[in-house]
Amino acid sequence: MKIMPAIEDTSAKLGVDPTSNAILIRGASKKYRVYYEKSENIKYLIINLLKGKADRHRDVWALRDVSLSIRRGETVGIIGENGSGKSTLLKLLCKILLPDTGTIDVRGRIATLLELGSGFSMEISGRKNIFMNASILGLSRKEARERLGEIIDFSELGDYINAPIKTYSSGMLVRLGFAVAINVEADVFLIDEILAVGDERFQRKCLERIRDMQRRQRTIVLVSHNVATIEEFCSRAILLHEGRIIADGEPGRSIDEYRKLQASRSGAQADA
Amino acid sequence: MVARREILFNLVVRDLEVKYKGSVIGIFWSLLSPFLMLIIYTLVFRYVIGTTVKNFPLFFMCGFLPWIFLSNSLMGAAPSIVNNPNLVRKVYMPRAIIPLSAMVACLVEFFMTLVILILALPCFGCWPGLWALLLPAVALIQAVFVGGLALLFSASTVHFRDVKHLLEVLLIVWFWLTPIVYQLSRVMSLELPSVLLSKLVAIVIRFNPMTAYVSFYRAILLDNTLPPPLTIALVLIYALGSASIGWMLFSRSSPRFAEVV
Repeated sequence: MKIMPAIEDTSAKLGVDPTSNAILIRGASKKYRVYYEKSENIKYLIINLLKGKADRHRDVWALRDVSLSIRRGETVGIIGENGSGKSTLLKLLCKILLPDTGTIDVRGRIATLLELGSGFSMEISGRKNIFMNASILGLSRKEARERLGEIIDFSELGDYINAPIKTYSSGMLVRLGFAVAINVEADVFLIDEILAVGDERFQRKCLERIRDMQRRQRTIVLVSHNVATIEEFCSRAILLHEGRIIADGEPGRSIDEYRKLQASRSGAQADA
Repeated sequence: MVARREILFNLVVRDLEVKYKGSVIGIFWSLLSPFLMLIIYTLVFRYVIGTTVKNFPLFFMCGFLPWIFLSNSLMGAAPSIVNNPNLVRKVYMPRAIIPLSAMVACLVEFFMTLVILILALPCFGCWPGLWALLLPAVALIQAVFVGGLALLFSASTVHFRDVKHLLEVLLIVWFWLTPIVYQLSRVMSLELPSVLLSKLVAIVIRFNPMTAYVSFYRAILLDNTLPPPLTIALVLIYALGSASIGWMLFSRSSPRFAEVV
């Protein structure tokens, strides 16, 4: 216990309490290989080997040297143009991708909400799909059973819950997917553009749930092109551009930067 | 760990449910195919070719059911990662769950067919003895062997999309190099045009992993005895070897799956 103050001192110097960090990224970079020509078949591999042709590719850095810490309970928005590295960042946080350099630490249970309805199978009932989807999102069978009523209520599917989901409309599918996703219990939520689902009333219901998570001190990382959502929900926004963080702070400011960036882009296009 | 088992369980149930959806007597379909095969192979080998194997239908089934388990598992597991890109790109879970769930679904069917086989044994005048109690254990050891290959083939299909075609051909060759419709003892005295060739074929068949498994099943089910110690050792070595090689290669390439699928 004697050493504790020393640790607190250093963290005080840095202005961060290390125990309250939900996410800590140090110098993370991610490189994708983009192939001009790739032997996707054994057949071509053999032909290319015989011809002495090697696979040609170039490296594209989706993220470059990103360092970032997010405190527990923060809601952080990530904005940026297409291809700026937003989704790559989320995928690094949940281990779908591994970084080429740097380290990534996420504390606690992670819920990855990059798409709705992972593992859905069209042939089986909505009810059974709830268990499938829930287990993939990290909910145990017991937890899923406890929340089943809540999930079905939220989806507003009523009796349709027992019908195979191939009979559902796209709106119903999305509602079911969201009902499961929003009932996942986790410490860190990684959400990618899935909030804009259903009609306006359902959207309000979803956003109310996000508010609820915030009240319960959950950490949320939100990727969205919808600046209004970011401004409304986030206490902080990060602007990514070509794989680097170019603004990090109060949402209004980052969004201004983002708009400037976009304006300069379309300006440049107009000049050309 | 618990959650992972549950994903596996759910995927297996999903596989089986989708497969048997809409048929009241769902399991019927998984039994129909081996049954038809039994009839046609018995017709050809017993009556057309005139095999000397005693009690051919049982002899054949003891080799054929484990073979179907292997073949269905690999055909199901090989494209499993490529066919489920969203489970790789959009969520995080141990990727090995995907091919292994395809294998486990086949294992469930395998167990169902084994139950029928056990029930059928007395009808053909062959009462199962005590050694038949080892059946579930042997099936599980074979599942470890098949699981290793499932990992191997699913990972290689991610990199080379034509592995499936290669596998189809491989399975045909592998089937005939396994003593399923013939006895292992016949192979030891083959008279091919060259002595070297005869030796080679005999060795390939003798040390074909499936030969060891098939011999084990036949020994405990038909002869109520343990197979020779060498066969027991081989059965374990093949399972461990396949599982460790499959696991090693799979875990080496799986971190990059999300980028290539």
